[in-house]
Amino acid sequence: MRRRFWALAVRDLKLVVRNHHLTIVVAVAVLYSLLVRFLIPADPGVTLNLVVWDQTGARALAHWYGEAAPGPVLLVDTETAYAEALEPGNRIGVKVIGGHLPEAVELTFQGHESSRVRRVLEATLNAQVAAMLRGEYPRFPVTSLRPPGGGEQPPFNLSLVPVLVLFEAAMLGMLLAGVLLFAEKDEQTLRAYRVTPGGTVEYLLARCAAMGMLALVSAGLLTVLTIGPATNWAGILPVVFLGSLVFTLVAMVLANLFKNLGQFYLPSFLLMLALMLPVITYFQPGVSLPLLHLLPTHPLIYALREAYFPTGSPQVLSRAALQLLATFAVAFPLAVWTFRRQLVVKDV
Amino acid sequence: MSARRVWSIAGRDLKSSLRDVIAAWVLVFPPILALIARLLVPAVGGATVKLVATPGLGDALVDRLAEYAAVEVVPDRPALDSRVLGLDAAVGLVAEEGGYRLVLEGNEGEEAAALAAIILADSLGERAISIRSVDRGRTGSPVTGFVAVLFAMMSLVLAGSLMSLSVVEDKETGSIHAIAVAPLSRREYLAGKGILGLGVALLNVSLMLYLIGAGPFDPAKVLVITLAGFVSAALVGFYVGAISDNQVSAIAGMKTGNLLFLLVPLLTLALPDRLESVLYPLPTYWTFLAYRGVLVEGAGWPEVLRLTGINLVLSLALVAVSVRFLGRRLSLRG
Repeated sequence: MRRRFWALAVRDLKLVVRNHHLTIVVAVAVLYSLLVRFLIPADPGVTLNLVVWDQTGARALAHWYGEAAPGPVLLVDTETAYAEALEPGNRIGVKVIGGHLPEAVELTFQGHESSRVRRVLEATLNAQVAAMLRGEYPRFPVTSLRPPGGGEQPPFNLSLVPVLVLFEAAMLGMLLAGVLLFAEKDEQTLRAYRVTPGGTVEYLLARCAAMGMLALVSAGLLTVLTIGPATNWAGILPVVFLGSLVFTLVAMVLANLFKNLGQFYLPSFLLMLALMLPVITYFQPGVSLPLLHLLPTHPLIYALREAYFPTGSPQVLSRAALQLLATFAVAFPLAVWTFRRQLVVKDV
Repeated sequence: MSARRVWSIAGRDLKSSLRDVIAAWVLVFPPILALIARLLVPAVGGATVKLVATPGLGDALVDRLAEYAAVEVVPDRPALDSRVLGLDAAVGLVAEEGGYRLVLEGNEGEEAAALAAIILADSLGERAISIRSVDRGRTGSPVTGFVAVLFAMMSLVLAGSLMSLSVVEDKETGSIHAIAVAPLSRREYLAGKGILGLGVALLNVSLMLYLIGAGPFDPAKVLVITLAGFVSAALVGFYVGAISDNQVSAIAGMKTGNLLFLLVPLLTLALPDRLESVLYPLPTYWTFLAYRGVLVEGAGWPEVLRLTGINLVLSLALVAVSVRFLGRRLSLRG
């Protein structure tokens, strides 16, 4: 059985190489690495677009924004300029009213901002005025549950690496495993395989192993070219490999529901998009979408972040591994069942 | 070129798509994506910070905090610690003698903790200055606009992909040899494939923009941008179809082509302004700017025509460069 397993895995890898998929994997990894290293900035500088019109004599808030506040703040001094500056739909106006010193602030919202965003902006502005007058921002005692010494927040360009590894390496098999299956169906290879002593289990495991190896190549290249060779390989590679096994099986289950690659392409694309949704909470931690926690990609992306940029929370990795193993335990029998039913019993 | 023969190729591909349920998926795909986006966009656009509180904080304060951020109330302090230690960033708030305390995991960014402190202070105390708000009455969210732009670009990519698969299917099934003996020129064959792809692109863009609630926007401007944007998408589709002998290699080609197509809008968002000029030679950059102009910034006709014109000139230049190669690879008669 072990010999057949390896023969199947090697055959899959040969198919992948012959059809230029390995070349694409390497080229894409190099392309992403170049973008991350040389084009995407370490600080994207994405902050609120404020238009400030300080009508007071001292123009204290305007000076404060001009000198101290980071991000894109546009200072204007006439009503026409204020109105014109607020034309783009992503800007918020801050009109400071008063004599010599600020007495009131009028915020001009576009209309689409949520009530929470509005309240937070009011609170932030209030804190800024208070800081200007009293010299400090509001402070409260803080308890940190993790001991100090955890890693710092990675720069923006490197924070993309876990996302790229998830999408390009761990989820590589999502499309490719299905593609290989349909190629075999077209070439009648599966019919030939049925008369061999090989079983469904080793066929599926061999496909998973081949995709897993390809995922390791992709993850390894991306990591070496972006983060460098000195990194937490013991954390990164097992997580990527396990993720790849799970997503390959998911792809095999899905592929068995369709007759050809044309039919499979759009649903698999849709599924990949759905599985990438946890990226939203990865980049926008304030987003509260509990349903996303059920997706296997949710713990995986945090595990990859912990592996690349350790914060002293190794249980994030073990939790991801557990959730992936649980998904594997469900997906594997399902894949075996759909595979036997569709390809063996129905002979399609 | 005979219009009748072009339509017959398009009709044949449409029948094939209907038989393979691909057409059904093309119709189902936009509503599903738009539905997901409609559910997510308000959550993303309105997101501030996640707070976790215990009942000890008091209902009144929790209600006030909920005006600023999503607040999760957990039964006790151990539950709060456990929640703060969860995978996503959440800041705990607890009442203690003489005040309040923030509970952090320790790996949050500085912004999350500072924002939680600002929110807590604002919920508790009087303001340093009187703040009032006015509203310009706009309803189209820029987040929805940006998602709509990306969906429109994705629709172009999908149309190109379906064209690739269709060409490769003809190669694999041998239909291309049957077509070769029919009185049909290569141009008519490609135009037939292109018409179906264009139909798919127009249908998908319209459905996606309508269902996601993009706008208000001028459909005529979107039509002009889609028509111009489709040229480069179709070119990618034909290239992949031309170089691929089977569906396995077509997927490899589609992965590269689609990646290059969709990477451009993402790079436009991520690149600093000084580096944006590296994207000028790419038609998709101008497609993205034009869609963004109409769907996010409310651009007028002069701007739309300028961006679309540049896009079209670049796309047609690429077509001119590609004609020989594509002609050789997609030759019907060897």
